[in-house]
Amino acid sequence: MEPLLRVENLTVFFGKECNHCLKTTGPKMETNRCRACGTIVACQDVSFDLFEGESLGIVGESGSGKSTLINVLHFKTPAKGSMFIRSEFLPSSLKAFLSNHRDGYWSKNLLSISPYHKKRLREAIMGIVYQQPSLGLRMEVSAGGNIIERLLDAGWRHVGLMRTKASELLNKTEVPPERMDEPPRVFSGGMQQRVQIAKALVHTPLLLLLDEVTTGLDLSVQARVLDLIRNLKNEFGFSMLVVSHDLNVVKILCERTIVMRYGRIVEAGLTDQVFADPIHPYTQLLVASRL
Amino acid sequence: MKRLDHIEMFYNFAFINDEVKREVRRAIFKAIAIPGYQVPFGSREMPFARGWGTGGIQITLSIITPTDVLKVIDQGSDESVNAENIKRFVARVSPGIGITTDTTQATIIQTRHRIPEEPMRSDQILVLQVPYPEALREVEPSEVETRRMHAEGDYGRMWLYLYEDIVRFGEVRISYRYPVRVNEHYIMDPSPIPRWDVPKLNMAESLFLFGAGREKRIYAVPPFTRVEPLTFEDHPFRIENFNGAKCKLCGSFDTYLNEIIMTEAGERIFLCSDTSYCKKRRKQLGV
Amino acid sequence: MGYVAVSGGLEAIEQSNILFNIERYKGKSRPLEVSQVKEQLYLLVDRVMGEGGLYSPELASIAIIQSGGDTFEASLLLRAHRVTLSRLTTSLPITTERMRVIRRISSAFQEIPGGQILGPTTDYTIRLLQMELLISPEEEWTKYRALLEDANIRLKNIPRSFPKIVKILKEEGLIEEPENQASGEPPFDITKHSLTFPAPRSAILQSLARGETGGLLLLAYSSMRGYGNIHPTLGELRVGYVPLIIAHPHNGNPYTVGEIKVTEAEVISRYETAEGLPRFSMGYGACFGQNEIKAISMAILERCVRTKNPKAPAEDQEFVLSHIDGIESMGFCNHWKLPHYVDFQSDLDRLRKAQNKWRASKKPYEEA
Repeated sequence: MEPLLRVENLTVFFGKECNHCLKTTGPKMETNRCRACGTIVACQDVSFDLFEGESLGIVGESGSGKSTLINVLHFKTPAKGSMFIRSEFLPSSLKAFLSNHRDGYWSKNLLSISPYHKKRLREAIMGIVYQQPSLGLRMEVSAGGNIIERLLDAGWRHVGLMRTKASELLNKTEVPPERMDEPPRVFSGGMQQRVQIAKALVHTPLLLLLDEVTTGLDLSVQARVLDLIRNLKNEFGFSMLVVSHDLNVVKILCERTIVMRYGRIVEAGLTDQVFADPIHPYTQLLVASRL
Repeated sequence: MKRLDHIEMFYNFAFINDEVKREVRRAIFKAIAIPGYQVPFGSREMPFARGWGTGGIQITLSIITPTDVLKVIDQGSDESVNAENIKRFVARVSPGIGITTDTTQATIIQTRHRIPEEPMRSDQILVLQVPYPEALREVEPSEVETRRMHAEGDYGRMWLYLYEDIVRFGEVRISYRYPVRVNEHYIMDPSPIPRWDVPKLNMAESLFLFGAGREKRIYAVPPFTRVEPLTFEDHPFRIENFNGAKCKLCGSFDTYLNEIIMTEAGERIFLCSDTSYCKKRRKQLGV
Repeated sequence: MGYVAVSGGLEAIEQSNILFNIERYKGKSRPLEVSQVKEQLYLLVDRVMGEGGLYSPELASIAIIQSGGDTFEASLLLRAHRVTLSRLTTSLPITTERMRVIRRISSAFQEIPGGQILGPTTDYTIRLLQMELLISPEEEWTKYRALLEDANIRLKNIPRSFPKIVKILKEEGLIEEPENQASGEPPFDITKHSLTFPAPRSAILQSLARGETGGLLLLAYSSMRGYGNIHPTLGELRVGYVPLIIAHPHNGNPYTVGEIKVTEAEVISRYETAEGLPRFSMGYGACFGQNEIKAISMAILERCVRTKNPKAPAEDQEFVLSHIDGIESMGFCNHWKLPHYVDFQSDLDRLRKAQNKWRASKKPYEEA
């Protein structure tokens, strides 16, 4: 297997940032807030590779930087460091702009490309599902419209064809297609998540980002949504980045896991290994406290 | 208002001073260079209320020369109060210019909400008054956000708005001010012209200048530019349908008509909205 | 059925102008003199000068008379006139410490250095209608005027300058120093450039200073009531005359060419969770003439629109600055009186089509 995405030394500050920020924060200092200037160091030197078709879990408590990480990957939060995609995966319309001409293997650093290209790339290769459906869906627009918006972005202009495509996806994500003209606002929480997933899959993305997708759902609903994601992954073959504070979710979905604390990676490895034989004391604590 | 007679003594030719004219012209040039892009400009107060065509007036006053022939229409009519008011003002402050109601005679036509029925030529300029320069305002109230959307070509939400209308009502509800895509790039508000007039913008011989005084924007459609209404392949753009009605005065059925309610019982007749065209036709037909 | 198209717009306009003037002058009273408006309705004049963006009590009085007392219309007349004037120079910055104060109060302290000067105001009057205005003959008025002149002697002992309360607090480090224009840098001019957001502070101040008093009050009031409350305290309100100083075009020396009346308000707002030392923040308002409601509202809004994470309408800079201009809002409101029949015809066409579809009771999206 070859890597799809390479992330190197990702660092994110929220605040004005001073010389003491890195020294006074991190797992050893047990804080992510700089003692001198109050800046939050949300991520520091986070590096990893994501392989084709792989599912990578990121666990940690709130404030560990895992959600910031997913927002950086989705180009919503600016960061220092670099992020590359393998050139052959660049959509053909963007190849000329985003290929790295010296190194044919990797693209340019995606963190420093123009907002326009970020948007285009995001639409072409990524899908995201949020914990709160209201972040990923327009609650007043019909469920079908939510999915179709992404087809419209890509230049589709035939209402009939778009509706066919949307109802196929809703079918796949177990939302009754006859409800496609109702707004998600009237749906149950589990169904809203399924509409989000359908929306994320419109372009058969290379990379699906899942941000605490089952948090807040009933246990039985959680199980069905996780099942659905696993089946869809088998069918579509995308890579996934799964952020969760719930170790069970990661255990079900992911082959590899990264454990984060106060903005730093404290442990990484195969999921089974991390959970069966944790090395870092924090991971040990996490595993031990698991229900 | 007799006092207006002395206005020439106090003001520059075409009222606004040369410094401001240069500024407006620069904005016009930029607008022509980037078809459909809204160029911000330092819109000045005119002796009219904001919203009464101050954007169009500033364009007209900035481009008019003593050899120009001006026509002003409002809702298609040369004689409506607003058109008369603007015409009177421009004529007073621009000695030497000609005034006409005939579309073919004019070099500059300032208009509100209509494009004349007779096709315009390459030596003519149509100046449109614009209340809402931002076509995306319907889906996004913030100017910061709409500017970003234009810059990134992020038009999915606008299309979604049209799609939702089709789902709910069977067709797009936008009647006038129908959004168009200019030169396959910017989405533009064509000003509140009826859908009837939208096809006239496409690959036209004449230059179209759009002025929004209150919102401080100028934009343009240069000659021979593609202007396409936003529409779906299986839901084509449709202009207004008068179900075979004819103008009561000139008998035409291929012009934009106004419906007039004549009696309390709801009896109605139809009349051409373009009054000077209607007059011309009647003359030709001898009615 | 015969039909005659309506025409003769020009004639109708002229007739309506005449009718407006007949309406104004049909009573028996003598026509208002410019000086009467300037002297006796001075608060109205001040308001119109501020909203019209031109300091000229004389021209403002003409505008008020000409518009029949409509402040929107009068301000529009002033603004339209202003456009035809050349800009000769930009005056030099001044400090209001040198203001020739006629009124000055602080609600932050009981006593302030220099003292509270109530000055001319209706704030402390009992609001009973002066019915004697209906009957008062000329001689009564002459007597009253003599009385007023006697009383005025005591007012002449006001010092030439007063220390500024906010400045004292700033020196003690209790109040933040808001971001200011670097000295020498020309301020943004909204009359020449179209605003973009986020706007520089000078553009915010200029927009607010030209804003419509009622509009400013409405938005500031929404903040005071709780939609994004900044918990203001009126640090100081002062009304008076400030010198107008310009640089000589040849030798650059400063020359005082006159003075203008202004109202200035500084509100102190609570401190935010800060990185570093907590300090009060402040809002600044200043406008032409005596218009205290406007100056205070402006100060509150100036602080509101600098809120870091805006939530309430009054905190949203684009929202506030795009909607407070009286000339723009009145014009747009008035324009709905213009004919829109072409557009409405188009509306009718859409509605009828939709009704037909509904009657045919098809699934809406299945296009025929």
